[in-house]
Amino acid sequence: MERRECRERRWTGDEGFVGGFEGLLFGVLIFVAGGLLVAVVWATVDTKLAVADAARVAARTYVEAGDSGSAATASVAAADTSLQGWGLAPRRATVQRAAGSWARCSRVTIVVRYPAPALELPWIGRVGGGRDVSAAVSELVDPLRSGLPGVATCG
Amino acid sequence: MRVSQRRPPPAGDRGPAGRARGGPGDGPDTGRDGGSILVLAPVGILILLLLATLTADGALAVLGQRQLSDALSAAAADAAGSGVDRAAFYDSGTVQLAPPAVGPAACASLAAQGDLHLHDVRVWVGVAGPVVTLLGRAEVDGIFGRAIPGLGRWQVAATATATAEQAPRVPPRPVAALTPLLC
Repeated sequence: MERRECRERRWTGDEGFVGGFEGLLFGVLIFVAGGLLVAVVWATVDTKLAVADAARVAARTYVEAGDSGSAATASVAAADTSLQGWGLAPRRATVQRAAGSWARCSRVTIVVRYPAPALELPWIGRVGGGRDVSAAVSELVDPLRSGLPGVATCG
Repeated sequence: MRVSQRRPPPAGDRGPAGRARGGPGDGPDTGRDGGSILVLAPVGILILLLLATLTADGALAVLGQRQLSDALSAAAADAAGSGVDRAAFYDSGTVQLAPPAVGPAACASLAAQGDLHLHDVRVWVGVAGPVVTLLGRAEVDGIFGRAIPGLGRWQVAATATATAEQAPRVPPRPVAALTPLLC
């Protein structure tokens, strides 16, 4: 009977309030920390998806360009348009041709970099600046296309 | 010794486990169920963490699936461009792909996509005339799910199709204005 009475008094009164308050506080902290963690991961993944899409479009535009002069500008413009479609600012992006040239059978690699936000919150948007996220896509200039000098040495 | 003055509930007012439940007018709680929140709170937090884990790793799986799809698209385009059967073209003028040339071209293109976070990439190829289709399967490593058996790796799949065709080169012309399309 004494043990039962002790158990009944254990979580009542001020001790019970403190225990419940600490439990709620701990739960809220875990919830907020977990939510922020998911927001950070999603912000990085979202940026990665955007730059990968922009790199793919830029590489395809480059290898299909009509001449070497417009290939670079057209690929950058295509990447900018793609980034705008994802809601990103193209002026913060870096579009770079890492390898290849506008020549038959040349493998062209386009790298797009964009600073990922620290957080991406609903209704607020992108907050803060994180590390750069990059994506590289490689495509081959069509060996049998017209408008290019030389002989196809691949395929 | 304290004696509980709890009034017995009506006959039909019993919980699922057969324990008696008191109504609002039954007086102060004796604290008999007070410790249950201490058990439910960690369980709830664990469930939230598990859901956060699934969300983050699922996003990575989506990213891996997109990467695989982009890589297969580039590989299919490269294979369609460099895998044209030239003998058939110069003999009859038809554009069709040579299966022995398509596979190496696709493999070379996939190898050149160096920014992939994929494992165990397996690719199947099919050629039908001028059309090449690639089917790819791969695995993506999770970040948080590695601690949970069965959630450490995600399987993703994608397909891509490209067609080799002969078309006259049309110089691109800038579009003057865009009009809304009513579908």
